[in-house]
Amino acid sequence: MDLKGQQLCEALATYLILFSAIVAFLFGIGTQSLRNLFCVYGAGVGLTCLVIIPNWPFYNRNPMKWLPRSLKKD
Amino acid sequence: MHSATYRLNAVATMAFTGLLALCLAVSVTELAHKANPEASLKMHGVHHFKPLGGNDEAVLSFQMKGDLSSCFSWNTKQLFAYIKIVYETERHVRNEVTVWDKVMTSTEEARIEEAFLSKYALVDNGSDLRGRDVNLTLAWNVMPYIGALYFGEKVFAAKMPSEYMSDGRQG
Amino acid sequence: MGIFKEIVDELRGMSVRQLVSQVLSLGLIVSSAFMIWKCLILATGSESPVVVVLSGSMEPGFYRGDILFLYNGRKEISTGDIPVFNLPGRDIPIVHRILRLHEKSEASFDPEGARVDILTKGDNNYKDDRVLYDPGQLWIHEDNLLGRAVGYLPYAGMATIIMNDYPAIKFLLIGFLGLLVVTSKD
Repeated sequence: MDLKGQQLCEALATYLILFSAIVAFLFGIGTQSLRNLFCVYGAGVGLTCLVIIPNWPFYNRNPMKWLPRSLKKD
Repeated sequence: MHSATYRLNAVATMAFTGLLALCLAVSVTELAHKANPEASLKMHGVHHFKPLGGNDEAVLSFQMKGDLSSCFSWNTKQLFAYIKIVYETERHVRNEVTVWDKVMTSTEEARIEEAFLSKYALVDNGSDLRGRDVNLTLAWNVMPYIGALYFGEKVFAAKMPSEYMSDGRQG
Repeated sequence: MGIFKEIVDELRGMSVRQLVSQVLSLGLIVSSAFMIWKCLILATGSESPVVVVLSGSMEPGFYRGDILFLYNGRKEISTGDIPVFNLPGRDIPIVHRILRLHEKSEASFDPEGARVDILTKGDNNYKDDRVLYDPGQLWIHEDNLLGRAVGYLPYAGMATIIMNDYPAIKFLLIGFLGLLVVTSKD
C-alpha cells in the first residue's frame, strides 16, 4: 500500500467503525432490541474488515516515486 | 497501515473501543427510563404461627395485585420480585425476612393478581412476633442486559396475630 | 512459526540498552494497570471490585462468565441485595442474594461479635445457603462480604473461565504477549 493509500485506509477504518456504532445504536433504540444493535454493529465491523484489510487496488493509485538506481559505486 | 497484520490489529482495537462505548451508551439509556409500577398487597390469613426451636415461625398467605410491567425497558433481562417482612424487636433493631420471590422474565409475568401462600416461612431470630406491627414490602430488582442494577419497592403496613395459632384462620 | 523466528531475530539484534528500555516499557504498562486496579479498590471499598460469575446459581439473571461490579460502601445493607462473599477457608467467591437479615440492637449487641446476621440463597437454588456454610454456622456477617453487586456486563469474563478450565493457556498467553511487547518497535 502506498502512503496516500495508508492514510485513506486509516481514515476509512475510523469513520466506518464510528458510523457502524452510531447506526447500530439508533437502529437498536428504534426497534427497542439490543440484539439488533449488536447485529448491526457486528455487520458494520465485518464490512470494515472487508474494506480495510485486503490490499485493494484503490489503495495503490499513487505509487512511490523511487529515485533511479545509481550506477556509480561509492 | 503498512501490513495486513497491522491493519487487522487496528480494526480490532477500534472495534473493541466502539463496543465498550456502545455498552456504556446502552447503560446510560436506563437513566431516561420511567417506571410506573402499581401494587397492592395485604396479609390474607395465617396458615400457622408457632414457636419452633426457640424462634417464632409463621407461614402466612397474601393477597396481591400488581403490575410491574412498566419497570421493563429494552435493557431489562429480568425482574426479580420479592416480598419481605420488615419489623423491629427489642433484640434486633432491624429485621428483614423474605417470604416470597419470583423471577419475571417478561412483561406478562410481571402482572399478578392472586392470593398465595408464602414460599419461605417467616422465622424470627427470637420469639417477639406476637401482635407486632410489621411492614409488608413488595420489592423488585431490575437486572439489566448491560449496566447498573436497580431496586424499587412499595411498602404496606400489617399486623401479626396476637396469639399463636395453627388452624389456618383467615385474617 | 515464522513469527517466533521474527521475535528471536529481533531480540538478538538489540543492544543491551534497547532491551532494558523495552523491559522498562513493559514494566510501565504493568504498573499502570496495577495502579488503576488499586484505585478501583479504594473507590469501591471492596477488596475485589470486579468479579467473574463462576456458577449458575443465579440463573437466568447471571450466567458463568459474566462480570459484576461491586460496591462495599456505607449504604445500608438490605434483604434482596446481591452480595459476593467468601466462606471462611474457601477462596472461591459466591454470588447469591440476601434472603434474611437481623441487625442487633444496642442492647443485645456483643462487641466481640457481628452486628448483622445474614442468610443467603441463590435465585436458582432450591434451598438456602446453610448447606454451604460451615457445620453449625447459621449466619454470615458483613465482614464475609466482598461487596454488593451494582453493575453488570455479560460475557466479559469468559476469558477467566477458559483460563480456569485450561490453565496452560494462561501461561502461554502471558508469555506470548510479554515477548510481543518486548520486541515491538514502539
